[in-house]
Amino acid sequence: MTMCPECDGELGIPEDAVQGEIIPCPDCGAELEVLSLDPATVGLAPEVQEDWGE
Amino acid sequence: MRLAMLSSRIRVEEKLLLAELERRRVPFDRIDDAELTFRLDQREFPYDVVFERSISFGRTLYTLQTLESWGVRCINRAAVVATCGDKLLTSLALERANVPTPRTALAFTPDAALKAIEELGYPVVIKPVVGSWGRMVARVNDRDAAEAVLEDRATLGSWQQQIFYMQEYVDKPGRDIRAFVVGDEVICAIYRESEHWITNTARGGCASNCPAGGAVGETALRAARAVGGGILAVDLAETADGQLLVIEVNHTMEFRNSIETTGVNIPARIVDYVLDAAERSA
Repeated sequence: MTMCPECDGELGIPEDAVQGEIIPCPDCGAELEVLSLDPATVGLAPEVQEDWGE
Repeated sequence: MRLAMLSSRIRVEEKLLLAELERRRVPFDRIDDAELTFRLDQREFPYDVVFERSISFGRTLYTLQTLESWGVRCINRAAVVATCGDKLLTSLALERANVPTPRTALAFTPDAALKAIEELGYPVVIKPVVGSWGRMVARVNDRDAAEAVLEDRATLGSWQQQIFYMQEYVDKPGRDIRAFVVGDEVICAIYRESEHWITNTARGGCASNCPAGGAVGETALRAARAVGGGILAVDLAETADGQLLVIEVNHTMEFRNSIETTGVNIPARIVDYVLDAAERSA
């Protein structure tokens, strides 16, 4: 079971998740980045940078 | 033909594009720009074509400039990314091509900027030259507000925020338009409605279908060509007297709210363009 690094809540990683995707923690709402899939690991997503966008 | 998609944070858009490439069984690799290193003396890169979808303007620009100098085909091209990612360069390109755009001024000190603002006439919008999603965009309605914003930027901002880019405020009818241009075709368009004057869907604007032909399509295509063409999202505003003005052009467009809204399979159309361009460059 993958845990949220912010609140230690249990995370369900979607089956179609891809590395680099952002998923919210259902418990604390923290934005988490999927760092790897096998095994599934997450980290706190980097903060939005000044030059991010479209 | 060795294809790679340059990416960073995987948004819904990147996920849809990855799924489309996989659905077509196109051989490709994802490159995470966080893991990239370049030896500038070695000029080696294991791909022929790179499709840019990184969320970072800086990383995208420098990656593409490096790769193009080595003969790698980039979609969008580095020059297009450079133009679209910098509002000043975009404005210059639009003006050069006589594409209608709001009256815009440039200055480098708060005093000079204030003079330019008062010449444009209130309200005026002050924007950072590099930035997206409506961030740091300030509408100033009078001299007091202008002085406050300019002083804040001069005191607290980075050097880039002290490049004062100012546009006349366009009194939109509660909405603006985003037109999606892929190559020489405006594939679809949406209205973005919001009670707030910043209508980005990232800031809560609601999307509805907009006919992509007529003046909208024609103006969007002219704008896309003015910045160099490719896979682009053109943002337009309607004035009270019925003119269409191009506000900006986006080079790594977001479209998650526009597929169902328009009925157009935007990721598929983008992948069509990428694969066609890649084959032609092989």
